[in-house]
Amino acid sequence: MRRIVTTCVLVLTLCASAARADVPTSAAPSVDDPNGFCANRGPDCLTRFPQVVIRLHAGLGVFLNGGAVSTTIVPNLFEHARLSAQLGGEVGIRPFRGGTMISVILAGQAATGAVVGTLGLSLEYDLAYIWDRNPNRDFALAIGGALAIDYAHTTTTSAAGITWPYDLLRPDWRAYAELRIRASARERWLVRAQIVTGFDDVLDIASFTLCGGYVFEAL
Amino acid sequence: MVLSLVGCADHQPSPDPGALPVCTPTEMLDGEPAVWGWADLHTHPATELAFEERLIWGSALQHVDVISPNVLPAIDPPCSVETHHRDSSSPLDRTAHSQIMALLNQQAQYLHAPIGTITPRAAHLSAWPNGRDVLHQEMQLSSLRRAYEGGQRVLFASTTDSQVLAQLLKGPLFPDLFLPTSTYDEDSAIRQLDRIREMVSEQSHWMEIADSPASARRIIEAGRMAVILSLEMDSLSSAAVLRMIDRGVRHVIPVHLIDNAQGGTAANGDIFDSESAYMSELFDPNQRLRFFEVERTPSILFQLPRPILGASGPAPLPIYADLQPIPYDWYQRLAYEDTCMCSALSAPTLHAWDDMGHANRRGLSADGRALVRTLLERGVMVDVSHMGVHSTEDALCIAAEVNRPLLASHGGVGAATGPIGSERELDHGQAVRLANGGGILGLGTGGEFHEQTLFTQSAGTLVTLHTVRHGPRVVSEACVESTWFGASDASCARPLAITSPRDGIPIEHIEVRVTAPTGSRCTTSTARWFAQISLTRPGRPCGTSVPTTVQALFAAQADGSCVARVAMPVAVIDAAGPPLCSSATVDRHYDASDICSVDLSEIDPATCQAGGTPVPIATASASVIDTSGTTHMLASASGTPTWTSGGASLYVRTEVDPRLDDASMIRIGLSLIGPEIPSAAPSSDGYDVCVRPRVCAGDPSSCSCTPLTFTTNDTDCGAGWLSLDHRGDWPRDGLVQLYLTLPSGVRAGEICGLDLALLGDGPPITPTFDVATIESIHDPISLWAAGYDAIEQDLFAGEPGRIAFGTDMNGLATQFATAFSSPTDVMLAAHGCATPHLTQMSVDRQPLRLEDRGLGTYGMLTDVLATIDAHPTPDLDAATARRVIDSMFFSAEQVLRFWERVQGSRPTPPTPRCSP
Repeated sequence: MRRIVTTCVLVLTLCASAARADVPTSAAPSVDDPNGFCANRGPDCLTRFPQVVIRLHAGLGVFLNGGAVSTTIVPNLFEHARLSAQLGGEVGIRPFRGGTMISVILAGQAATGAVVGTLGLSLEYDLAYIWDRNPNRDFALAIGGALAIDYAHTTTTSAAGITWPYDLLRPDWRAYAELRIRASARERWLVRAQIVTGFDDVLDIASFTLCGGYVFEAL
Repeated sequence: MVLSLVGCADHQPSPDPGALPVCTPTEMLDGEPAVWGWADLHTHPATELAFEERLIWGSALQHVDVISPNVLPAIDPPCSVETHHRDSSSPLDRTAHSQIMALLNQQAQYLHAPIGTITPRAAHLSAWPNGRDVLHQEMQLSSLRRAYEGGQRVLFASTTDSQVLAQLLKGPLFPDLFLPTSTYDEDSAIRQLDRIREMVSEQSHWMEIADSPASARRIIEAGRMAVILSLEMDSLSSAAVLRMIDRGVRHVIPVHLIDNAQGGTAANGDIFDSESAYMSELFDPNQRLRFFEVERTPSILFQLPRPILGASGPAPLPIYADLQPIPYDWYQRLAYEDTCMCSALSAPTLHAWDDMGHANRRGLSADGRALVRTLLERGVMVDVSHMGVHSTEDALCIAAEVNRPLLASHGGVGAATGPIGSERELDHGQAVRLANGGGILGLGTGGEFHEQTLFTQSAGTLVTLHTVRHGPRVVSEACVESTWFGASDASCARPLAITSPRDGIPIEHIEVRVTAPTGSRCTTSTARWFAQISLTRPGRPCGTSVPTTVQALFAAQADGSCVARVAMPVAVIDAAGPPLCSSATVDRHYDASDICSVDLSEIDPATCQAGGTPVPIATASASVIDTSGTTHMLASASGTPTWTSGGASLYVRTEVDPRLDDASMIRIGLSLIGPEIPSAAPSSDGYDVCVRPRVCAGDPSSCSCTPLTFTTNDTDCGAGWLSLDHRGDWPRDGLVQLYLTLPSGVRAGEICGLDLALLGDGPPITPTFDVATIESIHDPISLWAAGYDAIEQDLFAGEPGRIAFGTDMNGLATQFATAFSSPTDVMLAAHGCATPHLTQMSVDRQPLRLEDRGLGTYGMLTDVLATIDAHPTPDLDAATARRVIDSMFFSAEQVLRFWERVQGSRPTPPTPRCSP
């Protein structure tokens, strides 16, 4: 018997705006540097690390929370739906050449009757790096784990017409798989899909997030 | 092993020991042949599957090589103290468990123990089984077998659950604390029913599931036990209930612990009030967080307290969430009590709240009425247990309309006169109608002691044990003495000076005065001290009824003291309306002997909540001022410079002079302020808290209060001492109790004090206790039997068998905690049939005695009957004992006849129609 809490944010629109990175485009791309990022940055550009990656994402979505679930998960997912808007970002660092990135993650969501914030640290590995070592390819498939602090503020209007607030602060430890698709290798706009499962209990918390965002990277 | 416990593929069934020889009673029942044996109308053999498998440890299906009625296998695998969740690796889980399980342990007044932990003195042997324990399965197959060999032939096997409790055991949801789920209860019920079926199929030679009275009769006539599938769920839809009927369920409790879609529950518990609020959204999305809506009635004593809900912390990390009382304005709208002391902070308020309790306003819903009617028409047994009085009324009316009987499977029956304790007792008038309509009753085995407080001493720091090291051990001794006796040991804790109130002193004012510690002044600028003065109606004991309460706020005086003064007579609140602060109605006059107690607490005006910070009090006194202006002191306290948060009880009057009590059993209770007293650990024996009563024989005014000399077998505390046996760690604010049968010739009324000692192998510690209580008690089994007989005579005109057991094992219900004695050999006989000879049950070669363990495991029901049969106490005479045994061994037959009436194959006596 498992109760699975599933949080899902479905992005309906992309509305992020961020300062566009100063991406040099004049140089011809190479096999290892298809977007020409290192063309004017010296011969050791592709081997210089750490690299800093900043991703911003935003969207509108819906919270789905399964509540106490035993054997029938799916019907319960839709019992307590909340519309939500999400705004988040992460600052990551690739400490050495490879698919590994360490990020500080920060996300906030405003849902009907609830405000949710997450602050944490993640460690992820870009699986696509195994067969394509270009970190600026137009897609990435990553797996990772995160430690975070979750904060939630909710309110309930009681049968007596009185509003009862409820704040919850709790640790969050999770594993996730993430697919990022950029508009192109040169373009920094992306769509991100993330599946998260919490270690609170096996499959105790799971979420699916689909976001639009913007990424820029700097040496 | 884990897989085997949860019934997966590798589960190895225990061997089936087979059925006993058939015996047909030589006596007829009401002119007809009857089957032989007794019935239990309410049990939960698969409850370990409820609560998301996170609460109850152990399983009926635990494999044993031989199922013996005399040997209880130890729980295997052993459980940890912190969590009952087998897969838990999450700090959230563990923290939530440690909080919720402690809460349940506190309610049961039984600390969880390290069951099965192999340490020198903390093994499972002293901790399980026990009648007060609610967190372990009590219906292992060996235990069921003992009940069967002791004559049980009908077993109602019920499902139960609470999704609120289940979710809380996992820690709060995110982002919500709790969200009700519509399918949870049905899923849980299906799993439990499947487990019960599995159990019965593995032991099919001596038990079988009955789906009709005819099949039940066939099963019993073959010498086997009929198992009847039953539902006791919180939130099943009516459609789901009917689906369960298709799965073989034949007994339904439509309303359980919360107000649900079918109707209103018995408003008898604060936890259930909060649970009902959290679940209310499920039944009506527009009715979120709806608490019980109650009416005031003088026919019920119980009053719901201020409800609690999940709120933001602080709480033990890593969960920043807690349970807190709802806001004051919300509570006021519920009108559970008069709360004017919060809204009128500028001056003391003068009012009283008449002693009327709470009844749930809700009856059965239209859906609930339709369900009850449908079930009865389909021949399903419908149970009014857990229904509020209005729901029960509706069910009775529907039953009369369709001319089918109802049952009340577990609980009690109210007396013919006077109020009932709570709605969980069946109102006497409704019980009469249920009985006259062909119904049956199951009598709960939680047990009452008819306890009387011999003495209770309390203060913020009543007594502290300062341990000193003696060689490898640390030792400390102290004592507490009752203020009822003239003789005194100056070294004993005895903080209160109490003058017994004298009858006939008219009260002009009641005055409570407190002084601040030296160097400070009483101030009420930041927080208010609040005195609650309890008065009782003449003839009512203070501790067993809901007293009229006078509330008063203290005012700072020029001399630095604080005074709360209440003018008399007391105005009475209009019970039908919302709380009032200025009622002019006066209908009662009191004198000094009506005063029960004065409780002091601190109120935060901002939130109107008591407690939170220590109340600095150097001295306190309560007195009455008569019409001539003379002051009569009732109680005073000094030398306790800080009374801890929540206040202190200055004075509690007992019903009668405890020195006159001639009971032969006592209950000793100690409440710990802190620090926690560690339990035994693998490297240490931990600490033992030892007690020894003091007695004062002879003239109370001149006798000496000296230690009671008697023989004990306590290897932990030594000769003449008794271990309080706190089993696991004794937490802060934890209460530990000990039951004791006094040596021959010693009366409970002679108990004048208590010696305390702390022994241990760890570093010196200084635990402090705030309350020491000794109560006289009577044998609960004798009282149960006497009550059984009285109800049978009253409701059924002595017709035998209409009352069965309604144990509620293991529905988180505590059982008999102790007994006067246990039989060492058991053989019960009635109506020409007899049980096999049974020896005393044992676990790991340790005898299971009722006086030590109470009704700790299901098979000891047989021992309960044998104790009644032996009627060893003055509380039960031989004739009554014989009637009870004879009646119980016809209860299986009466269940069948009741079921036949429900199905229409036996006529049901008509009862007057009424309108639901």
